[in-house]
Amino acid sequence: MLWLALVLIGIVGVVAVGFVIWPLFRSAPPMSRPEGEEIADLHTRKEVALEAIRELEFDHSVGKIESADFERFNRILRNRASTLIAQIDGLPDGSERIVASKVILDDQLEIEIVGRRRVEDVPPDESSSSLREE
Amino acid sequence: MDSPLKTRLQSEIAAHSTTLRSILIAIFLLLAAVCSSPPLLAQSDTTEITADEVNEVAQHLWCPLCGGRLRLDSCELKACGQMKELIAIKLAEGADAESIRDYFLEQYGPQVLGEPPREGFNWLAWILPVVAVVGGAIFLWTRLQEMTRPRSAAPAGAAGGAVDERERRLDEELARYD
Amino acid sequence: MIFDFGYLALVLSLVLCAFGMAAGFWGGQLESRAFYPGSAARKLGPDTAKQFSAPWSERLTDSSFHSVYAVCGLVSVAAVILWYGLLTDQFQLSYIWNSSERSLPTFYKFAAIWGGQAGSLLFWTLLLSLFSTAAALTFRNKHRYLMPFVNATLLATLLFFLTLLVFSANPFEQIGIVPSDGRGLNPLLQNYWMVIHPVMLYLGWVGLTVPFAFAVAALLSKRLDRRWVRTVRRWTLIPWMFLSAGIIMGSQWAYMELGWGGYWAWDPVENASFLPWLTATAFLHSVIIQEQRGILKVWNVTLIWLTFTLVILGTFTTRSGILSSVHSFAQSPVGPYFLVFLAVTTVGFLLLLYQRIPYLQGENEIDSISSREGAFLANNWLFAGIAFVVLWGTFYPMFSEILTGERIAVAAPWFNRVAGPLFLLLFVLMGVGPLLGWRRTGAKALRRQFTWPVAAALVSVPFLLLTSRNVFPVVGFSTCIFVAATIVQEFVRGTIARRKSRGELLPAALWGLMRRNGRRYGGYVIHFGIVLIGVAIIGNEFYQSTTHVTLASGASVDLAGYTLTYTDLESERRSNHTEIRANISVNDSATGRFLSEIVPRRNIYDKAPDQPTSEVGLRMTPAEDVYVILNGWEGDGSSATFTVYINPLTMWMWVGGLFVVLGTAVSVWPHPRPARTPRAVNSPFRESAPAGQAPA
Repeated sequence: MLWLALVLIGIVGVVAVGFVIWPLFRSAPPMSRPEGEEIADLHTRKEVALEAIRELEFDHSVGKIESADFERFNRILRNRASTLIAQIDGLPDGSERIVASKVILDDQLEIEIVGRRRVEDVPPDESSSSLREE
Repeated sequence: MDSPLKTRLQSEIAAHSTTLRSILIAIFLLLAAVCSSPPLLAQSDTTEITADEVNEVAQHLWCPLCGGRLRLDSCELKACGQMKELIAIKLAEGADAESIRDYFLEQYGPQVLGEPPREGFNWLAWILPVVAVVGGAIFLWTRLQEMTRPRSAAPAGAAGGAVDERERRLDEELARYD
Repeated sequence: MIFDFGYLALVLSLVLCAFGMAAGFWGGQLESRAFYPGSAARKLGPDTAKQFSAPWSERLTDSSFHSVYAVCGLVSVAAVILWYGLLTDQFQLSYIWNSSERSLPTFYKFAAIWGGQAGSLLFWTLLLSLFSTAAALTFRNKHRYLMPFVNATLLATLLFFLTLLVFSANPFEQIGIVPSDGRGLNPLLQNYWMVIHPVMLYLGWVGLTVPFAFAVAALLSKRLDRRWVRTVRRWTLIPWMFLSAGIIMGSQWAYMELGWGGYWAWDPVENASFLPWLTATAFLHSVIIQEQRGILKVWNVTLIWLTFTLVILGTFTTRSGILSSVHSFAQSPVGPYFLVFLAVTTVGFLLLLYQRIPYLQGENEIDSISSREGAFLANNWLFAGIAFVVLWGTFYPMFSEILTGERIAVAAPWFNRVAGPLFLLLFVLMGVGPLLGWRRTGAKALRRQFTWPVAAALVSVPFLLLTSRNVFPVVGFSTCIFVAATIVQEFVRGTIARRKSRGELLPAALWGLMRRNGRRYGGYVIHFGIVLIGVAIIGNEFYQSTTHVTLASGASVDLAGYTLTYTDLESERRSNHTEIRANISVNDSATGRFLSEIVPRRNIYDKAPDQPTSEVGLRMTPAEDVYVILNGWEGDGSSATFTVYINPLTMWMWVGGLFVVLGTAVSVWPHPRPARTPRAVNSPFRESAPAGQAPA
């Protein structure tokens, strides 16, 4: 009876191995572009920033954040969010643009933020090191 | 110090891996005891000592055979039954809980305490957690001091234009989070 | 024949698993190299790089996805074959012979797959492969950088368990003869809670592998931004809920079945399930800080790795028996495998972490200690501290045996004394944390937030002093009241604020609050559940009363306002055991009013007559449980011995467990997702980033 088991597992094995290695022989699969990943990352940060603003407003409305603090943090957060939005809006349309390498984006972002900071004289807590994620 | 019973039971328990097993043995021995003899405590010779008085003492002691997993008052091993009978006898003789505890400590070793005795090597069991938790607190505190910096008063900076395009876009995006 | 096939299916899945793991790591490596500036492939220019390596990276990645599915399919086949064997009484398999019998009710035959070592390892592998498939399918088209590594890490873990199954604990091992009947399932496992409780624990343990895999993937691919953290939150919360439910159900089982009046004995097996719960809970909190503030990156990956390690360690300790005695480890066939796996993952992870430290710099500072960040950090300190204490206490007997030769028991007194104060601090913090806002909560706001909860706690103290002179329960209860008051205040103020800002009616505002801020308010619901559990623990620990009596038929005993009268003993034959029941009626001592009938039982199993199990007789009310154990009886039942416990407030432990599950559901419930703004004209993002960016 063992031979029957062997034959069966042989068949199953061929199918399973075929299933697993089949993608290796496929030509150019339609995959999401890594550039999309970069933008998705940017969007995630924007979402975090927007949520943080709402959260701050909520905390302020239930009295957890004093008004002076609220003004300050709100400005920082809005600043960050609008920078990110500008970044996203400023991206060239269409997918055939230059690979928006994360590092390049980050550099731009950082320069811009530092620039804005200087103008606004934001306190040092959100220093120029912020947004450097990698 | 090692009674033959203890040795035998210990090897028996060691053979099984989980508490469940030792509890099973406990129940088995209990049933053996219950079926072959009158209920353990109810009819012991020292009639004036109630089971509750015995348990009052027993609940501060730990079954020396179960690896410190069962309190003596709820352990159903036969050996523990005998220990409880012994407590009853000692109580009837006028011994207090303290001296009974010391007696068992001498007989069975620190297992009956249910915690490492505070002496010698076993101080480590007590000290290390305190050191770790306090050390963690000190580490966290110093890190926090590093991470928080004294702040300068927040200046009332004004953002460039009054309501520039960016602000408008931001509010538009924010509106989705209402 | 079919069982040979089952075994061969495991062998085949082992091979595919190894292949898929390699493909995943390799594919991920190529993928991240291809798009990382400065690396070899990049220097060829973007286009050449794409032509050269992108297709291969994607092919390998795809192959790793297929491996996950194939392994899942094959393991499922093996599990189904074992279930078939159990349900059709194929006692020629040594596993089935050892853990089942003909007269076992079908329900327990089904459950017998996790009743013994080989079967439970197979079941664990099955659940892990299902979780892996679920993760692979969910993130099929997202996280292209992470997924090959995620697959590879999950497959590596699967590989370990398959190795165990193939080389050490084969569930399909045959005896060579066909015995007429099996030896029966362990009687203690023949209980409703014991059937469901391991499943919950396994779902929790196994599920926690997924966030670990994401952490490893983030480290390997150097994509340590916030995305993996957001993704992983929901995938941590759900296993966490299973683990919590599993622990609570285990306590319920111990309470109903083991019969010592308690529910938690700080037993090594219990601790094994509690340890990963502690670190996972810490992770769930600290991951919020990383998401919000971009700090604690190293700590978070360390925590999730610790959780994974403790899961494996827990399985190892329960499976190898090392904690009962150092010697049983040597006899256990699976012990050495676990040790090697633990060593490899630990060394591998720490090396990887060390290499990636430069990528894990925090982005921000902390504005003030008086902030939610501060509270969360303290929370993490306490959880880590408690985890250390529990770990130390669990392993101390082993250390002392190895180092001094003498085995020292570490039981409840030690744990209560050392971990108790830490738990109290944790409860205080559970009240303080939610009252603080992010970044900084100033003195005025602090006063406004703390006035009511602190007042409520202080007002309660005199009343509590009426119930006990002992300082611990008074402090404990007033802390619980403080926490409950903060939660109520949060709900009230949140609802009012929402009502004010948008003029909604109260119920609508409350609903909107829960919907919009589900994560936060779900968390509060969980906290409330934990408070209830705390209340139950204090009630049971400090207000319990007990007596041990032998009653003749018709005699009664008084305890804490109840009169218990023993009527008679009955026995009834069930499919595979005899049930001995003692009938007891419970009356109010003062008024004599009849309250209820309770029936403590003993089950004597045919296959294990020397291991009768105890089923407590229970009258459960919100105020207190009347809890009776049948200890023994005279031959015909003319008299019987009982231990009676009155356990105040114990019911709230199970209610608290329900709140924990409910709160998790609120937390993970998909939030109403803001639609993308219409402005982004033809942004490439729209087609490439799918809708899964929801807050996790």
